[in-house]
Amino acid sequence: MKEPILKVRDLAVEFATYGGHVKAVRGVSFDVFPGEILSIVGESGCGKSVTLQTLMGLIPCPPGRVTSGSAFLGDRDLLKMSRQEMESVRGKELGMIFQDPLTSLNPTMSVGAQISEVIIKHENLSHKAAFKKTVDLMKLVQIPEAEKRWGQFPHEFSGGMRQRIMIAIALACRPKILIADEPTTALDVTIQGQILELLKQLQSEINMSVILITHDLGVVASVSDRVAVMYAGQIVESGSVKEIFGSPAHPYTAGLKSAIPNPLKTHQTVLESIPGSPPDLFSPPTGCAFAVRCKSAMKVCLQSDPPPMSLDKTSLRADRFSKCWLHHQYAPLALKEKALHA
Amino acid sequence: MAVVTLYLVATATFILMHAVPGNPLQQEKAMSAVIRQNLEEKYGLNKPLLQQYTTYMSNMFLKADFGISFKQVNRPVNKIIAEHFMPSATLGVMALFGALVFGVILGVFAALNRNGIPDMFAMVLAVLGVSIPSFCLAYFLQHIFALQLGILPVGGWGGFAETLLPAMSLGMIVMASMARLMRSSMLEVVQQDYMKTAKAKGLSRLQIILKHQIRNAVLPVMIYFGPLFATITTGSFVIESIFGIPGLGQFFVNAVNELDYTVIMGLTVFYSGFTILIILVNDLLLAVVDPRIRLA
Repeated sequence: MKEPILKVRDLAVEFATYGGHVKAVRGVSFDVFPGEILSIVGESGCGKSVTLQTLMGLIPCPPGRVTSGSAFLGDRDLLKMSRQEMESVRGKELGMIFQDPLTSLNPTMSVGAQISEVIIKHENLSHKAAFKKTVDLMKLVQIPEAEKRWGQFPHEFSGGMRQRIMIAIALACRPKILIADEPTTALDVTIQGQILELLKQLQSEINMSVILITHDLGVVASVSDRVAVMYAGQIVESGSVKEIFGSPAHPYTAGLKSAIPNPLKTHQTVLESIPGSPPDLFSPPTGCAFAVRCKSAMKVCLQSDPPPMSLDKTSLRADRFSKCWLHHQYAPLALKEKALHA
Repeated sequence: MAVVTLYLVATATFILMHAVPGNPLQQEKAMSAVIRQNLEEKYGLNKPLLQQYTTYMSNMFLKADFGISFKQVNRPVNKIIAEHFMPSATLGVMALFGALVFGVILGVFAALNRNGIPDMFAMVLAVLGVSIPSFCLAYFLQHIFALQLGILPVGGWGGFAETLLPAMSLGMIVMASMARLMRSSMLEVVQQDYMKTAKAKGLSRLQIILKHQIRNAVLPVMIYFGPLFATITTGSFVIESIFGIPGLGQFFVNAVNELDYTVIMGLTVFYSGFTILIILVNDLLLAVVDPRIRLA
């Protein structure tokens, strides 16, 4: 078994607002292994972006506050780093790309300058050497006529091209981990495919790990190795892509899967959905956060929060689990069958 | 465009000026009919208004001749402008650039210490600056710096020292609005996604502020810079008379009081032209600073 390069344990983040403290992330743990693509899926507001922005130190504090947890990159805890240390990690060991390439690039700076800025910062190169490296990077992300386009501004690029620039910025110093926060949400479907293809190709070329945040199950299925499903600030299920899509072990995952429209089912007129809405994170429920929306909720689900239950019979893998009481040895089997194989 | 604007300004001024009761030849002392007639003939006042208008306009736009002052015997308006424009322009430019530099610094300073003591200090200063009329401020400044401290002259014109107080009184209001604009603009830019990108690159706080935040925040402030020039020039009439500066302002005020038609017209058109020029230069500069604006 490979050693993980990033170990996140029991991460909790909350935000102070006028209405009280929002517990956006409530005890998230996961590992990232070298050279893999880990997807974190979940609906809006489930805490997936907050989790990863916390790792990058991008959460403004205040109002944000990390209340517990650790995140070891190698043997250093990202959450305990000084500002200078963090600056040397960001852009160098952790690269990040964002959702909207239109607003994520500085409108008054040429794209070339925006890319070489990272190189100059972390690699102490001269401007000339940085220029050369930038052009190479732009070629790497398949921007035609890189030398000519170096001096152009973001508004002179299309959405897909801008996202390529963002990728070039994130990859400039060959980071160990690339964090992609919904990289294709703002792009149209054909461009989306190209960008994902590019990401996947670069990932294997550079041999870096990718953490992909998305709410698009199609994207998850097409690129990732492993998946973590988030709900209300917690990871409710984790496993390989095959496991998550083939045998979902949490009613929420099962619900998400059945909400995917099936083009072959012609008689289906109403799209499936999960009734209800996520809980109020000002005062999260004491029991399972999904219980009130769950068709198979039991008494215990409302009373106490289920621990992550390992689904791997050999118990060698910590990343195959479901936070659901249905996997408890005393849970009625019939109910479990009904909930997960609908 | 600029010429059309100028033409409209000139026409409006002409109509308004003639709509005011009285005429330039009215004096306390009675004037004999013959003298009056001669004078009217000399200045062309006996001709129908429409003819006066066309003559004046053609002289102005085709020959750049603003005519002769009615009150200051035989003194051409062009000469008045040539002789007295420099003090006004010096003062205006000093006030404007002082306001820009200090306003932007104050705004940046306030935004970076949002809701802190420096922010409160800067914003109190800005509110005071906006709400105190320049002529009041002028007297305060004279009192403090000239009378109490005795470090700057009360008034007059000549060296650099004489320009400081009037430039301060003139520029204060602009500086205050610049500071407020810059502050809100800075706070808006902080929210932008590209600031997050900059941080994710591992840049230091100072690098992010200088290269990404201020650069983008200053653009909306620049847009207001040209129009604010108008504020400066209108303010300068009062300030110039308070500090006894031989600028154009006094001529304007006197001319309006005495209905000195040619001087009013000449100065109005000149000032409009100058303002249009400044706004044009400002727009061109903006296109240089902001790559998204293209020169058509």
